Amino acid sequence: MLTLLKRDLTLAFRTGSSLILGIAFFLIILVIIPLSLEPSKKILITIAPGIFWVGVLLACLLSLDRIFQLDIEDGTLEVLSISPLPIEGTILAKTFAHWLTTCLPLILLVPIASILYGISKEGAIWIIISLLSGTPALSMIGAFAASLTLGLKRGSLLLSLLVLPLYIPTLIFGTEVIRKSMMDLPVTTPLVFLIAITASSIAILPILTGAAIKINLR
Amino acid sequence: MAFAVSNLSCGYQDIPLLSNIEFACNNGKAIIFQGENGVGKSTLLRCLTGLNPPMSGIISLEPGTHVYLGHSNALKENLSVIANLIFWKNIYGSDNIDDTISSFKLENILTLEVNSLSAGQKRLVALARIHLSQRTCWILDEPTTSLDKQNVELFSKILCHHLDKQGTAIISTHLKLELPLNNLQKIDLKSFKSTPIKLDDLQC
Repeated sequence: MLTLLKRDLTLAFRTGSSLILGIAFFLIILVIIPLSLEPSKKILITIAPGIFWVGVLLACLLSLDRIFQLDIEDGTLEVLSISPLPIEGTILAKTFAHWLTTCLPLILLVPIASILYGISKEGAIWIIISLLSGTPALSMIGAFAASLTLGLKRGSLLLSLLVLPLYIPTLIFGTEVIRKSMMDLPVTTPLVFLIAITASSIAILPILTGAAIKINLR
Repeated sequence: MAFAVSNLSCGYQDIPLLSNIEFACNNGKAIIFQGENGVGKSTLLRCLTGLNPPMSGIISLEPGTHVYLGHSNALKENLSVIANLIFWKNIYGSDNIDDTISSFKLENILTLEVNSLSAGQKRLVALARIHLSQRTCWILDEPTTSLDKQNVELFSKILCHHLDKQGTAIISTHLKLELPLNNLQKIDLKSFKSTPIKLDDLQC
């Protein structure tokens, strides 16, 4: 699994384009939305949690179809699916690589981006906590949806339609964590739900994704 | 008995191609499937590897003993040859990478990226992965595609060596591989062809 993770990371940094695309997209969303609103700090702070989450979510959506596509095209995935590494292990490694190359760079940008919105240091920390506990679910759910559309020639449209409803719970609890922390309310409930979504998707979805991939490889 | 198949039927999606296939393969032997394009050679091999489920019949193969090479090479174009080999070495947990490199004569192209290789060289690296897996049953779909005469001979030699070590191989090819005859069983798939579907049965 570690080998596969290392290889996927090497490949992502070698090509680089999808890595930069995600970051650029996230920054564009963050910069453009305040410009289209009236310049008031109060409004910015109210919408900031939503914008950070929507930005990460859409940037994540951009690269979902690449999780398995390249490995399908050169035949690596079918060889891996009958190799000693269990298919669930393959999926976990590839999903983790996707999270490391897509979501983690965006989370690292949060301290800088939060200055744009006039968010305090504690606020930025809560945004990071919320994203760290929620984004693994985005990658995992995305990998599952990507595996369902593998066999299709133009699957990316269907992929976004499939995946957006599945992302909604994560989005709601994720923004709720940030909002409550900004209003100095207890954040335990939404945070626990967010972590539960992540934990259960990591526990269940690799198995379902494996089954979907095996069917699509036929 | 390393590999046995009885009463196997397989097809592409829902269209039956081959039926009532029976064969057995002992250790140290190879089976070569021959047949015209579209007869179902690749479908049968994918079925034997477990990628496609058979329509009916029994495949008895010890799990975890086979390795498969399909039409695609399963190599990463952006990585060097050695990086690809090390990746598969780690996946299969094998310890014969030096032996593989020397027997496939890959020393000169090790550091090159795969996308700078010729089609024949890529195929040779893909075959090196099969050797690298250290598994006993090789299932190879047109292994000699785009290999030149020299490399086909090299591969035949490696294959013979594999059979001498009590390995087995199931190969589909249209080329003649120079193997000692007592090791080899040729099966023409024409005799297992399913009755073609009548045009009236198809709903267009």
